[in-house]
This record gives sequence, structure tokens and C-alpha cells, in this order.
Amino acid sequence: MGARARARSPDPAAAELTTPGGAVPGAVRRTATRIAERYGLVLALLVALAAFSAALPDIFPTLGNLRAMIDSQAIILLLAIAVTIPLRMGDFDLSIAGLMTASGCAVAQLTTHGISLEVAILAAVGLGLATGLINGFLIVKVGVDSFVTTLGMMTALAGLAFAFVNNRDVTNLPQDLLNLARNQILGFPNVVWIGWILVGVAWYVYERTPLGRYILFIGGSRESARLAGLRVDRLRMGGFLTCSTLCALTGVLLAGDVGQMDPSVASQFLLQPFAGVFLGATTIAVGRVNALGTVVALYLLVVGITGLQLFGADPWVSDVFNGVALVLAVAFARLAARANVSQ
Amino acid sequence: MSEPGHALSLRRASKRFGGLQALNQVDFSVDPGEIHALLGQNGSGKSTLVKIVTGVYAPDAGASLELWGRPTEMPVAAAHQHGIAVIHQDLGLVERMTVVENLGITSGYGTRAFMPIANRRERARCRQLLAGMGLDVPLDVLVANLSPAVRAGIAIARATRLLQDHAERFIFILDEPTAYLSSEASERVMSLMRAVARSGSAVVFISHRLSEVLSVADRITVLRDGQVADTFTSREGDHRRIIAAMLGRALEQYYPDRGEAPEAGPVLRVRDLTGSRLQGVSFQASPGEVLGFAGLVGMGHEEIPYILGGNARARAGRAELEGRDLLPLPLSERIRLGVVLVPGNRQRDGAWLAATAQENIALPTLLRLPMPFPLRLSREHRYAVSQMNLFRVRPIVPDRKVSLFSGGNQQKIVLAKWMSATPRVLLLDEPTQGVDAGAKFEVLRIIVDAARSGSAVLIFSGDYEQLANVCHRVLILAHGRIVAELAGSEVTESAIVHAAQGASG
Repeated sequence: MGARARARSPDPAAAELTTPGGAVPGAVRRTATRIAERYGLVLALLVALAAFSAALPDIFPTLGNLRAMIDSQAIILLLAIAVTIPLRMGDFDLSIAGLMTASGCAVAQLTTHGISLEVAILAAVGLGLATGLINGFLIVKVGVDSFVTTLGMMTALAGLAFAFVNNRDVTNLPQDLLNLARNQILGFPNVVWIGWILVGVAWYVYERTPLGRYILFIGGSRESARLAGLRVDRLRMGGFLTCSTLCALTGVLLAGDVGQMDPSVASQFLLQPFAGVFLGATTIAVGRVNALGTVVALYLLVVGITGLQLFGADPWVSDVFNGVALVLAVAFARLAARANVSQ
Repeated sequence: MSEPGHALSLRRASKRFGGLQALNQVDFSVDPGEIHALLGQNGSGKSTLVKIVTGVYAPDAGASLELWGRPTEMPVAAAHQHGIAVIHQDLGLVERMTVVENLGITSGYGTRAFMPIANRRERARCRQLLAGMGLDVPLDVLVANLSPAVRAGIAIARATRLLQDHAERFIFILDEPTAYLSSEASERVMSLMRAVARSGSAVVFISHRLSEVLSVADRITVLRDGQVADTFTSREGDHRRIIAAMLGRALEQYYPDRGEAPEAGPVLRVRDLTGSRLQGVSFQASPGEVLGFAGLVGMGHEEIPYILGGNARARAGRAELEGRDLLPLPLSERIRLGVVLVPGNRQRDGAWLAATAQENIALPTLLRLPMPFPLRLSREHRYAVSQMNLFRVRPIVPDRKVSLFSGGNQQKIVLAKWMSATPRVLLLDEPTQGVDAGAKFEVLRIIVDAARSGSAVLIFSGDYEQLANVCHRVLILAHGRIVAELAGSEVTESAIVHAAQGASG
């Protein structure tokens, strides 16, 4: 947008359709509003950091706390970026957390029973591809609603996770699996770096490549994308496969990161990725699911929750905070969309 | 001052949004039994006026409103209790529900939330409402299976029912009820409107189709830039007067010059094309030719652009572009060969309104790039600017959302999107639907220019006046077959109407 939007339209009919406002002052105000809209969440993150640092100078603004906050979001960030793919195409994938847990359990069980890590990872990828195929087939080819399909898949996979490990926690995971997730570069473990790299790749694909545009148009206007000659079904299928494969690999990292595998963790990872993605869609590329916004949103959520907990809030605060953030994010997105379209 | 003759009398209505005077000292009245057409280009203030009458907006100080001679407070609370109903273009019917379910939904099925619905009484009421509109429709069919004109009738019947529960005298506001209808369907809506007016109700009618306005309306008010530009009885006015009032200047030409019919041999040969309604249609189109297709709704011609464009399947037949059969090819391959389909439903198929003009215009060109390589954003920007210039989109702001452009400019963006190079075959489904009078000429000129530079242009439209004025040749279909072909001087509006209706009876 920016300065070009300041050009006065010669057409009064078109002028009526823009935001109300006079010539130059109105345009400046519009530009200001747009910047506030774009970077509001970034500003909120900075304000939250500053406020908690000022209120809790001894415990909040420490390197240890910052690292702990970033580490705690690593797995959620991976899931969130994975799920932006189908969400950007207008499809839900609720199976992400269930798949990650099932995959983590499979890898934990295999590697503790003498199977090499490489083979175990291949098995995880296979599980991811199979899940993606089932989701994609039912949703794209058969036409079942994506919410319902993946809700079912999530439950089934969360159950399978228990079967893979015979209902027990798996401990004493092999060192190479732990190293895969925990080895540090510049003070951050691999699992964090992989998440950041994935954010970079997703940003590049979404904002800078034809593929990203296709994905965007499929989510925005499927029929017009189809008529433009896009292979809509194939791309949606590819989206489900990519998302599921990434989630399965996230399961491998989860096992290595935590150091043991508890088959009951799926439900803890379901909501936060969606809260991050939807809240993230209200910033940077406003109204669109986007990669950078997702990171900002997740970090804002963890800063808020950590700050409150350091103030002595009970652990339940985090669920309330995430749940409320998700609902508010979706509500704001809707209001922003309405303000953009009308008048 | 009170003039007891009026059903609705709005005086000195003004409305300002920030720096924009949307409505400026407008007087507007409708009499009982009158059909009053409200015209104006997009953005002239029509919808603001309607929203003031229905209480969506409060007018700025100084305005007064009388309904049936009684002063009424503004903002108007609960318009339906004052007997005012608005029927929007999309009608607001639930397609997957039956007629009887739709007719009851706004008035609580004649009962309260937890009380049982009295089925027999409910059905009798619905039959009576439909009979009042002169509609003979089974009560248990899904609305999805009804023709567009019948749906409009059901929407009016439903509004009537709601009003009957609250008031004795009614004011209907029909906001472009015929925008997406064929001539015949809109003719039926016109007669519904006349019936409603004859029963003593006042009707406000908004439309872009000037011929139908002149034939149905008793009085015409034209808004321009938020003011009443002209108001007159339809006997005193004609096309010229309406357009002059809408544009603020006289339009010398309503239609672009189509030029001579070309001599060249055909580029497209269609043989025995059969679809779900088409039954073996054969025709040819030459480069430089503008070929029109007409027919009553459901007669099969609507299918042709989507079958040739690749979005619907043919059951049988061939469609050869320079000897090569298109029908087995995927849509993307047809685009590569220069077959361009501009779909009729702009909102759903033509563009993604929430994306920017640049993103929409560039989308088809991306197919030539390998997917993972970076977009060339500055080149894309230059391309969008040049296309917007070429197609006279105003304002030329490529990163503005499509939804923020006027209807005519949206359609130009859709054309700019699809016509990136001169197409070999250009398929246009209702190209000027929802486009106002000023922009219509420009859109049609773009189309005629494409033909001049060598495209074979196929237009599918229910607007026969337009077909008669831009086509070299018009084919008329009935029951899936071509029943008449008009060429050269035979191409007139009355000849098309005659052929279409004569053959479908």
C-alpha cells in the first residue's frame, strides 16, 4: 500500500468506496491506520516484553527466561507453520497434534527396540504421508468437510499413539535421537533453529513465489483459481501431504526434545498452533494466514502467559489465555475484514 | 410539508461520511400504486438513500420522513413494522430448503419458537401468498431447483407475509432484482412488480437496465454525486435523458462500432457439441468476429462457454481450434492455446475480491513461471499498471483490493486479468452484468477491440439489446439446439426476442 494509495482518484464513484476521509489528511490517517493494523501485534509484543521487564526486573528480562520461553514454543511453532499450508488453502487440519504424538511414539518405540534412527525417521515420514493421503483423499476427492475429517483423524491417531507404546511412557531414548533435537548452535537447540528456518522457507514460498500465490488464491476464491488454470485439487492434496509430513517429523523432534515419549500429550498441542496462526493472520499480511505473523503471535502468547505465571498465576492461566486469544483473534480478523470491505 | 398522497416522502436527506458527502439534500417520494425507479451510477448515493429509508443509517440533521402522511422518526426503527421491505439482489432465500420452509422463515412459521407449527394452516397461507403473486409452484420443492424469476417471486411473497403481520400498507424496495436474470426472467419479475403495485403498494425499483426501467416504472429519479440529478415520469423520458442525468453529460454513443464482419476462415469449429442440456450444436467462429448466443434460461446456451473453456464436461462432439480438438485438453492447456473464458459470476469465479488488483491481474501470467522461483514483484507491478491503463481501470492503484473498485472497474479488472495477450478465442458470459451505463461502453469497446485485433469473440448474454448492437452474428438456442441464426442487418433486438420466444414456447 503506502504512498501510492495517496494518489487522489479522479473518479468520484471510486472515491466513495474508499474509507471515508478528506484528501491529504485523510490519506495520511488511512496510511497510519494501516500501519497500526499491520504492526499492532508486533507493538503489543514489544509492549508486553517492556511491561513485564519493568514489573519483574529480576526474573523476567533474563537470558535464561528468554531462552526458556523460546524453547517452550519450538514444537508448537513447527506445528503452526505446518498447519498454515492447509489453512491458507481454506482447509482445516486438526489432525496435526494427534499425528505428531503418534509419530513420536512410533519413533520412540522403534529406536528403543534396536531399530536405527534413520529407519525410524523413515517410518515417521511414512505415517505422515499415509495420514496426508487419507486426509487429502477424503477432503479433496470425496469432498468431506475438512473439519470433521481431520477431527476424526486426530482422535484415531491420538489413540494409535497409545497402541504404539503399549500404553506406557517410553523412556531411555537413544542419544542420537536426543542430539537431533537438543544440539545447540549459538545457544539455541536444533529444534528452535529448525522452526525458524521453516518460518523463513514458508515466508519465502508464501510471499515471493507463484506457488504461494496459488495457495492464497485457492483459499480465497477456489473457483476463480480453478478457472485461471490452477490444478486446485492437486495443490490441495499436496498441501495435506506436506503438512502431515512436517507434523510427523515434528513428532521425531518432540521425542528427542523431551527425552521421553508420553502417549497422552496430543491434547496439549492441539489448540496453541491454531491460536498462533489465527492471531498471526491479524498482523503483517493482515487478513491472510502468514508465516511471520504466526511467529509474532506465538511469542506474544508465551510472553503473556509466562509473565502472568511469574506474577504467581496458576498454571490454568495458560489454557484460558490461549483459548481467549484464539477466539479474540478470529473475532478481530472478522471485524477487520468487514471494515475493509464495506464503505 | 405533509402531502397525504405519498406512501413515502423523504425530504432534505443528507448524509456525510467523513469527508465524503454521500447524500446531499435529497427529496424522494413514492405514491401508493406507483413503481418508482431509482437510478444512478455506482456510488451515486442510491444505497445510502435506501439505507436511510430502512433505518440502517440515521440521516444528518434537517431531514424529515413521512410514511403514508404520518411523520416518522429517523433512524427508522424496525422498518418492517412500518410496512417497508427491501429485497436485495441475492434475494436471501435458503437454496437447500423448500418453498414452504423459506416462506415461513422470516415470520416464525406463524407461531412461537417452541410451539408446534400448524402445518395445514401454514401451507394454506403459503398457497394463498403464492397465488397472490400469480405463481404456481409446488410447496415442497427445494428453492435450488426453481428458476431465478420464480425465486424472485418467492422472495417478494415472503416479504409480503412479514409485512402483512405488521402493517396494512406496504412499500417494497427492490434492489437490482433482475441483475442476474435473462430478459424473459426479468420480464416475469416486471409483471410481478406491476401486480404488487396494482394492489396498492408502493414499489421502489433499482436497476441498471434502462429498457426495463422505461417499460415498467411510472416515475424515474436519477441520482448523481449524492444529489437528485433529474426526476420525471417515464413517459417524459428516454434512454438519452436517463444517461445524461446519470453521467452529467450526454453520451454520443451507447455501443462501440463493431466494424465489418471479417472474411477470414474459421479459427474455431464446433461440431455436434452435447452437454447436460446441449444436444448436438455445431457452429464456426472466425478471427475478428463477434458471435452472440441467446436463448431463454435453461435452453443450453449457458453451457457452451464453460464446456469450451474447460470448466464443464462435454458428453460428445468436437471443438477444433485450428484443427486440434480442445475437448480432451485440461483447462490450463486451453488457456495456453489462447482460449480465454471470462466467467459470468464475477464475485465467485472472475476474481478474488479480497485480493489486490495486481494479484488478480497477475495470476494467469504466473502459470508461465516455474512454481518455486521467486516472483518478480516490480515487473508484476509494472504489468498490472499497464493492463489497468489499457483497460481503463480507475483509479490505477494496483495494490488496492478489488472489492474497493466500482462494479464497472471490477469487470475491467476481470477482463485485464484474462486478456493478457490477444486471445484466439474469447468466451464471455454476461460481460456487462452489474456494470453501470458509463462503464458499459468501455467494457464493450475492449471486447470489440479484441475482435478487431484478431480474436474470435463469443458473447453469451440475456441482454438482447447489447447482442444486437455489438455482434456480427447471433445464434439462438432452444431446448439445446440452434434454432435460428441472424447475421448482418438481420441482427436486431426484436428479431432475437422473436426467435428466442417463438422457438421455446
